Amino acid sequence: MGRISCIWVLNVLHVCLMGCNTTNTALDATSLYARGMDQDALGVIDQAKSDEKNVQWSNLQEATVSLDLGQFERAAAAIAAAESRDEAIDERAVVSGTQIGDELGASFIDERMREWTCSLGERVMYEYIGLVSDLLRGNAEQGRVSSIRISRAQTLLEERRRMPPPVSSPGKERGSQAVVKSLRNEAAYQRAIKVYEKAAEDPRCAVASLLAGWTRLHLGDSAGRDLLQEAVALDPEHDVAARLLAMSSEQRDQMVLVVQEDGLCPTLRPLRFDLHTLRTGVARVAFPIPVTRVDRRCGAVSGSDGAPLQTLSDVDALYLAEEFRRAPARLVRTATRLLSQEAAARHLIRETDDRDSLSQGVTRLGVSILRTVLVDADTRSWDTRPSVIRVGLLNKTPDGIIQLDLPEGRQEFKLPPGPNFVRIRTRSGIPTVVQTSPPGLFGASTVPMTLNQQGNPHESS
Amino acid sequence: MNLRSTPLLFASLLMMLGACSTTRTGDRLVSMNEAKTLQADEWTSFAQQLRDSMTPTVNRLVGRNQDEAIVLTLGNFVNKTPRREFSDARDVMYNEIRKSLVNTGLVRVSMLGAGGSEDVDTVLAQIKEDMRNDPEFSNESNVDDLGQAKKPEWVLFGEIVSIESREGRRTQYDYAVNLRLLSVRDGASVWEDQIVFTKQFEKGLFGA
Repeated sequence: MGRISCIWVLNVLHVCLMGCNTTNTALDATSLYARGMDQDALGVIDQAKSDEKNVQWSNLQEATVSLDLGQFERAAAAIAAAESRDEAIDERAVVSGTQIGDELGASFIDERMREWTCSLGERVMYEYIGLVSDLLRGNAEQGRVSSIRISRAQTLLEERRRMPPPVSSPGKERGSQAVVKSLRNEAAYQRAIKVYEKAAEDPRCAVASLLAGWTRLHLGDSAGRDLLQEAVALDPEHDVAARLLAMSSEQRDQMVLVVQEDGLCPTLRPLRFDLHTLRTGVARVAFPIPVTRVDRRCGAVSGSDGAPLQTLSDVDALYLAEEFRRAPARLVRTATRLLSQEAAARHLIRETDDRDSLSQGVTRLGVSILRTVLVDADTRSWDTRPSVIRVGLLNKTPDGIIQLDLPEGRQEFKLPPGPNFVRIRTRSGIPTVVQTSPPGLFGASTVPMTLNQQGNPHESS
Repeated sequence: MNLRSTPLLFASLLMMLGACSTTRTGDRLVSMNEAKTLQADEWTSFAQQLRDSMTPTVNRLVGRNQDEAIVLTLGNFVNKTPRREFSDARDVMYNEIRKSLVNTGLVRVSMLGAGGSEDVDTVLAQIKEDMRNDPEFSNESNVDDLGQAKKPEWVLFGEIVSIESREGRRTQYDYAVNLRLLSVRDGASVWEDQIVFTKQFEKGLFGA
């Protein structure tokens, strides 16, 4: 019997060690990206994909990091993979009636072993990243699809906002209510969750609507106006969407849409505290708590007219809203897991009561390692996003030139004729990245075949 | 012993099954059907339905054209679904439509582009602009054999939309391809149709 207990302890130890690896990967990627080592961060993210539970998290991190590196095709592929994965997760939810990961997480398994899934707000954001990649690689047709997906995801978010907040089923909370209450009343936890006060009330992303509307307006789609009106409704003080709506198509063609993604959004850090029980000793509790990184912002970039770009989306607030929504379920899962661990620990200790002192010692040591040293929070989150997104509409000179006041100083950019999209990525202490859409973004001819001078068909650009 | 050997046997069986991956061609092909998009044979069927529906109108137009084949151009078929595959598969769709129409002998398909807009006026203005700028249609062209091409008088315009509905484990995907044949001269529509494909996906009780 002692051998069986030891095997159980080793198995759970193995599971926990695998969980540790997950958290370290997340921390590594975050830390490398924050230091501007984007290529190394991409390598770590790539490795993380080998674990199925990390795939969705890796896809989103890969999309943002490769976008900053100018690898637009890779970013678009990562977004397409995230979309497929989300569809598979949705289908799975149809079968079970709920997310299977939630149920499994309530057992022995470490929180870090759960599959990381996207929130609805994150779906809007990744479609926004997808649209940015489409525009920068000059694929307006896929840009239309991204815009449609943005519109759909924003509608889902709006519908969810109008619904009453989710309540854990009595079955889930039964038995763990007392533990949930004691965790909730813990002073450290109470202090830590104050960060959620800054969470956005409306989780919709105005910049996603604006960019989707701008794209579809240039594609000649009537839906473009609705999307721009949505952007106006989400932030009435920001004037870009309203100005675009009032312009003629000729005027719009002379304008440059400039998007500045500044700083780093919050990241998750573990909040750890101990709970004491009479029979089995100490148990460690660890929650992931968002930590803001406002100091990584550079400030607004100015255009040719000297006016700084205005903030349209506060990604920090959107991030906190997503994590705030995840927090109650996480609390219930942690309580349930604590109860399961307590029961298992009692069982193991009882098994060794009549054994020699060595067996007792090994078992108690194993249990205490499992319940304290190896327990940690799941700090995976999509934290390579910016802190704020600012948007401006600039006039080109007749030569197609715009000037931008970047953190490195004033720079001039010559842009091709027609509507242009410019993305600026600024992070404090890291060189600014400026990316522009290629010529003929919403080109005259987008049919697949045209004739060359010899009359042979060839691919149109 | 039995209890211990069962998982080993099961694992070996799974490994063997995994090793049985195979490539099939020709007669050994197994029928596959993905509900979330349209396959090549469905595009073929779509093009045939389009041709059959359009034929009476084309016959009338050919009659008015002194029995000469009409010249049309394919407008951009706008992908208004949330699925990226439709944008990527448009080449297959265009080829099927061209093949289906040209082989009737009643239609000649011009390769002239028609822009990526859903707005009819923009599409028609774009065609006129393209014709003005293309030496193939220019009276001032000094290149042999160019300047003789007949200008397209019609544009086949389309858009793909999808409706997704769910009931229990079953998801239904309705794909509608809206089609319009417009006169380049005045933008008037002379023929319209909507071809609908319905596909269902039912999730099994097990499996991802």
